[in-house]
Amino acid sequence: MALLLRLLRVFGLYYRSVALSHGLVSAAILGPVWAAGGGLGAVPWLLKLLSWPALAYLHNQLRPARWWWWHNLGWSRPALWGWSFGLDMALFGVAWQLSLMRLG
Amino acid sequence: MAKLAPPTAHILEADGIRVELPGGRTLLSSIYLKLETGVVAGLLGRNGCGKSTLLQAVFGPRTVPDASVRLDGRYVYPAYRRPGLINYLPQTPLLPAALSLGTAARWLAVEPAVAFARFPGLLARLREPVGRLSGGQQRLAETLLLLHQPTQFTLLDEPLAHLAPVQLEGLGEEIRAAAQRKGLLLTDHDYRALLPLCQRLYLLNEGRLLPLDAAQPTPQLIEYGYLPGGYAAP
Repeated sequence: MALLLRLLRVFGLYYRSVALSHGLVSAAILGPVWAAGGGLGAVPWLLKLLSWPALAYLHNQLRPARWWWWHNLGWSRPALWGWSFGLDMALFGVAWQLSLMRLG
Repeated sequence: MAKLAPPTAHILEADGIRVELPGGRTLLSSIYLKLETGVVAGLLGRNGCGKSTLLQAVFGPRTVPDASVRLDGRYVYPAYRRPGLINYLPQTPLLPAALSLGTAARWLAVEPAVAFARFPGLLARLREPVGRLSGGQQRLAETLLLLHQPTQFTLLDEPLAHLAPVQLEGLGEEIRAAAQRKGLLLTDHDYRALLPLCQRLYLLNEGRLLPLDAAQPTPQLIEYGYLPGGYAAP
């Protein structure tokens, strides 16, 4: 339980700085596609996936010094990006399912 | 009252670190660095000679082929992934600007009342975001937090920059106190403030790490061109 809380605390802060802004931008882009429904089901997922490399590149360019904070807490770049990506996609999947239930 | 046991002594060694710059220039080539619990080691060298690169290679995120970092003879590379082993103060600001000073301390498992006890100005601002502190205050707070973080070794890259003389004196006391429980490596261009703190000295010169006589380093520092000729020790 303590480990879970620690993980949630870490990703709360990291997610706030990285993936939340990403989520807002992708929601704005994907909203119309999502609302259209029909045969476009895979498009939001594809765009969401493709947006991650761009986000990773921008984040590395804009905030390189911040890595030292995370390294001092024992986190490597791949671990942080991996967990953030996983969490982001999981939340996206939940939102997707909720949306489908609502539309259905 | 029970007497606290002294901390277990540890030795951190690094060698095999070879770094070449994209233009082909060799930045680091012949390196053997040894840190010990209870010892403050100082690292001197001209601008651009690779001091920060060396610290980052020892810390671990800067991957160096063939690098060997050992704790008590056991391989621990990258060192930063091992909990409680090592922390590192970079030259750039460390703490996220949006975090409060108190929250940052808790993340690093540091009790702020203890870490900032000598600096009431910082204690009074625990609830403020780090970004609101001045550059010197941020630097001081970051250094104090890393000194008090429960790690066996601490690497500090220019911890004395931007500090007022009175803060330098207080920080010197904190560094000496921290050295009772961990091993320290400091690099800074303020060598007048740095030398009295160090029991061991290294000079990074043309890619090689040279051990100096910590009691009488001036002749060697002049010989290798770090100090100007005719320099008189303070």
